[in-house]
Formats: sequence, structure tokens, C-alpha cells
Amino acid sequence: MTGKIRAKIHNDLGSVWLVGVLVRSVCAELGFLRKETHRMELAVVEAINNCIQHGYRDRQEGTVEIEMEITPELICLEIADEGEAILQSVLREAASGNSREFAAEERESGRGVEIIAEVMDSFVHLHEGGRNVLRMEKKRPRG
Amino acid sequence: MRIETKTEGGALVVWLRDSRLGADVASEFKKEVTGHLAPGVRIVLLEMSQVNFVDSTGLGALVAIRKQLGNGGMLGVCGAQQILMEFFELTRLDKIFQFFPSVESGVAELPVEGARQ
Repeated sequence: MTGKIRAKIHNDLGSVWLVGVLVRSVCAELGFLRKETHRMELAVVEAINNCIQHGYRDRQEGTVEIEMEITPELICLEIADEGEAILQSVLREAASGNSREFAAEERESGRGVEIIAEVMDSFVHLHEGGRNVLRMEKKRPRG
Repeated sequence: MRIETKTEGGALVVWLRDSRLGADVASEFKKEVTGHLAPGVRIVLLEMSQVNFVDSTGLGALVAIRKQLGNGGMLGVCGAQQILMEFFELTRLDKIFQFFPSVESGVAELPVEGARQ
């Protein structure tokens, strides 16, 4: 099975779960195990939360666009917004694996990108023309 | 976020009645729970059997509640589904909270002296 779907939600944390349920359903249909399905939902929710909480901050306007493409090998997710760009240093640290221990310290925030790094096979953040795009890829289960 | 609370054995017991603890309700949830904390109570048991999704902001609310309980305090998670346990393991926070199969088992294991100042 292959295909592509686009969705758009308003800058509203109360709508993020809808995208999570969509991703969960697609992953389950593709044969991801329950644990991986849950993790994929979590990673996408974290990505969108970041757009709204950190990108748009207190702004009332703005949207988050989600594109999910299923290829024979991969599930590719793009999360795009027009808010403030996430700090590249945060992404580098998460991608390096240095922060993947999730620190035993009792942090109240700052785990979103780390979760994405842990769950996805790869992710890259682009900032072009005032638009932020987080592209994440995960290999589909075999068989 | 719908919750119900009760004080039992010197601990605040909180039942979460919704299936998700996400960024949209985390702040309200934290305020609700800490608002129910009577002076001197340093143990909170969260009954989470109906919860099947927590994101990192929801987790941050749990961490904040745990911190508010101070040294010697305890936040116990009761009845968590396997999928939630995997989330706590993913974030390595399974070491910070205590876990019980049910509220009853959590209450039964309360260190009574530690429940009150």
C-alpha cells in the first residue's frame, strides 16, 4: 500500500490529537507493532506541539500542515508551520544521541525533540522562506 | 481533563477519567491536582487505567507534581496500561515514579509515616 495525505490544523493544541489518531491508524494498517504505532503517534504529536508551543508561542493565528506519504519502503512525515524556527543547536544535540538518555533529572520540558530522535530513523529540519519543515522518516515493517 | 480525587491513608488519590493527557490539558491538570493537595500531603497516587496516551507536556505535568511533593514525597502511578509503561520507559522516567497495579495496592504499600509531615 502506498499513498499520500495532507491535513491542516489550526494553531490549537486541542486539535493535535486528531493528527495523532490519523497517524496511529495508518501505522496500524501498515503492520507496525502496537508499541511502534504508539511511538509514531507520540513523535508526530510532539512535532506538532513544538510548532504550536514554541513556534507560534502566544500567537493566535497560524496553521500547522501535515503531509504523510507512504512509499513501498518508508513512511515520510512532514510537519510545516510559519512560526519561529526551532534552534538548530537543540536539533543537533537531539540527533547526536547525546540527549537520548532523557536525563534522570526531573525536567518538566524539553523532551519532544529527543522523543522524535529516538522514534524516527531520520529527521531533518528545514527553514525556508519563513516556513519551517520538519521531515521525518521511518522504515515500514517488513512483510 | 476530568479527574476525581479522594484523600486516603494520608495520600491524595487522583483518578484520571479521560484517555489522553496531552499538551492541551496538561497545565489545567497540574493546577487541579496541586490545588487538591492538602498541607502536609506528600504522596499522590494517580489512577491512570483509562489513559492510553501521554505526551511530553503531560509528562512534564507529572514531573512538576512530583517535584511539588518535595524530598521524601512520592508520585505513584496506578493501573497504567502496558502502552503507558512503555512511554515511561522510553523517557527513562520509570525510575522517578513508582508504579502499582491498582490504587488499592498503592494504598496498601503506603509508608504511613511518610504520608504525613
